Amino acid sequence: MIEARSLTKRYGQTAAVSNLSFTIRPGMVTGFLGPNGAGKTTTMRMILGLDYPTAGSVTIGGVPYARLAYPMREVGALLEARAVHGGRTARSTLLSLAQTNDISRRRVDEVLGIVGLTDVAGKRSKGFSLGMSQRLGIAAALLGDPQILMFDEPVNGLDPEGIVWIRTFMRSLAAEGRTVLVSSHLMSEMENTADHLIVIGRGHLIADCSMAEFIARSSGQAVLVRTPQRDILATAVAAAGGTVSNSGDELAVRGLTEDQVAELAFANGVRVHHLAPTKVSLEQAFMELTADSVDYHAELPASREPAQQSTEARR
Amino acid sequence: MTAVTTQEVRPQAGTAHRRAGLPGTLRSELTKIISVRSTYWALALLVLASVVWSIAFCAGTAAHWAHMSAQSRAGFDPTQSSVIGLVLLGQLVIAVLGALTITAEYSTQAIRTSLTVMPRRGVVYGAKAAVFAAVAVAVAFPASFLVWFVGQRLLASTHAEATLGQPNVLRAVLASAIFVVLCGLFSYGLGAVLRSTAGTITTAYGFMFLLPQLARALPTSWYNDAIRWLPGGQFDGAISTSGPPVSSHLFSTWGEIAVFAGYTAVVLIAGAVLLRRRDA
Repeated sequence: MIEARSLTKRYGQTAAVSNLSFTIRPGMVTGFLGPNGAGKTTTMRMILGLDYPTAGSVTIGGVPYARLAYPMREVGALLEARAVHGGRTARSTLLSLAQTNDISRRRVDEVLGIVGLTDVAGKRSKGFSLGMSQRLGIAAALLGDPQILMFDEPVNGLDPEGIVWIRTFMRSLAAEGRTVLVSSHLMSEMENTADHLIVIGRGHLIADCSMAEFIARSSGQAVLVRTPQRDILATAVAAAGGTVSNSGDELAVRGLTEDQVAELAFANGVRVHHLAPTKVSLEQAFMELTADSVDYHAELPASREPAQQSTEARR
Repeated sequence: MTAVTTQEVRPQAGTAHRRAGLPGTLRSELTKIISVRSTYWALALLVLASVVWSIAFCAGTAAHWAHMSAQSRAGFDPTQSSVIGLVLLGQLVIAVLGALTITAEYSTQAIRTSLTVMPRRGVVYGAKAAVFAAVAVAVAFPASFLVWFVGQRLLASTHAEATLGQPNVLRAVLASAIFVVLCGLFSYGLGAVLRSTAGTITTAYGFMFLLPQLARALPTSWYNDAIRWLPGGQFDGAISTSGPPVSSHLFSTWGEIAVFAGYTAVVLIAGAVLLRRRDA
């Protein structure tokens, strides 16, 4: 359990994190979401005692991080996968970390096995791909078999196989009852991974709720219908209390469920070629909620594909 | 490849009141320093450069001995000539190694991991310093005796070679090694303050080599008062075996070591304070 109370970090006049309060609970994956520069990494560093808060506090099971007796046995963190000395082998890197917390050599080999790096344990990490570096970072986080795991942008730059691996892995850690906190600016990633969301923008808390709640909050869930008898259906929908608008060659019905729309069509003898609810993606919900909090707005292209573009831009 | 659960035996803390501390962190820092090749390259270079200097200087002197004036012969210091290479070149190398001990962690950002697994920063800092110092001692002292023996062996034909039993000889050999170790620690502390490899090495060299040279621009009387207080300005003089150090403006050998140890202590403390205070 991680608890932040009025956590604030200022750099001169700029507030990176403002008055942030939240609780991260065990047994689920909590997504820590926000645009780049929202203060996610700063918050994670404060949780780990790396950066000192200007005001407020954050505790691990009620204790400030720096007072944990064996930090690695309580919290495992992956902040930056490439943050290792490239001249050291995977095994030496892990061993040097394990030794600080009196963790055995055997455990080093164990975690190498868990993340699938046994074959390259004796190789210097300089030659590792980003995916391998991520695995090494995760192995380091797992060394103390901690109940709390924190990953900062773990899928950044990974190939699809690596993304699936990390996602599955995080889910299995949460299923074991652990507390898993994952930060990301990629909404699509969270959609498939997180149970609970903490959303921040410009250092402020925007949302702290379940994934379902977060999506439901956003406006405009609609049922799209393709039919040659638009007018009849539109009239019926209006009579039933829904609203109708044109969406390309389809009719967008709001205020009614897909079941209700289908029943209406059947009752009025309307032929339906296609009927589907629009899935409001986390992406859209996020964009709506954080529209005001993005530090640097880019000119939005006509078609909105922000997730795609932001990943491209980062490469 | 599958997401194996981590149900393996949970490493036990032994007893509840124990906590991660200095012994484990010392082992960790030792693992770090011996598991990168740059350590071995740097230390090999240190020894090799010092030995080559000693060979060149002493063999050269031996070859010219017959042509040297009585005055030059009398002024020749066989001990200083053989160990001066270690002092001058060894400083260059050990300063880099000392800096890298901490700045390499900043350049790779591994310092964040180090301070996460051991949040008591003083423990991390102390363990790094202790392990580095141990390695430096383990190399500098044998190297110092090695270059001295090599030098004396080459000077045998002159019959002017020194023996360890002669006055001030052992002192000079030990002082050379101590200077080298202190240079490394000075650079390590500076690294903790500046957190950048290039900046640290440049500043360390500036203090140890440039400052004494700049001081020569001072009026002579000022220079004579200042030089004994400068870090590095007095190294070669302090390892002279001819009674009082060559330059009468210097303190004794141990006095000059104390001066440099003082600078080193100040920088080490500054590094510790800043490491604890600043965000990592």
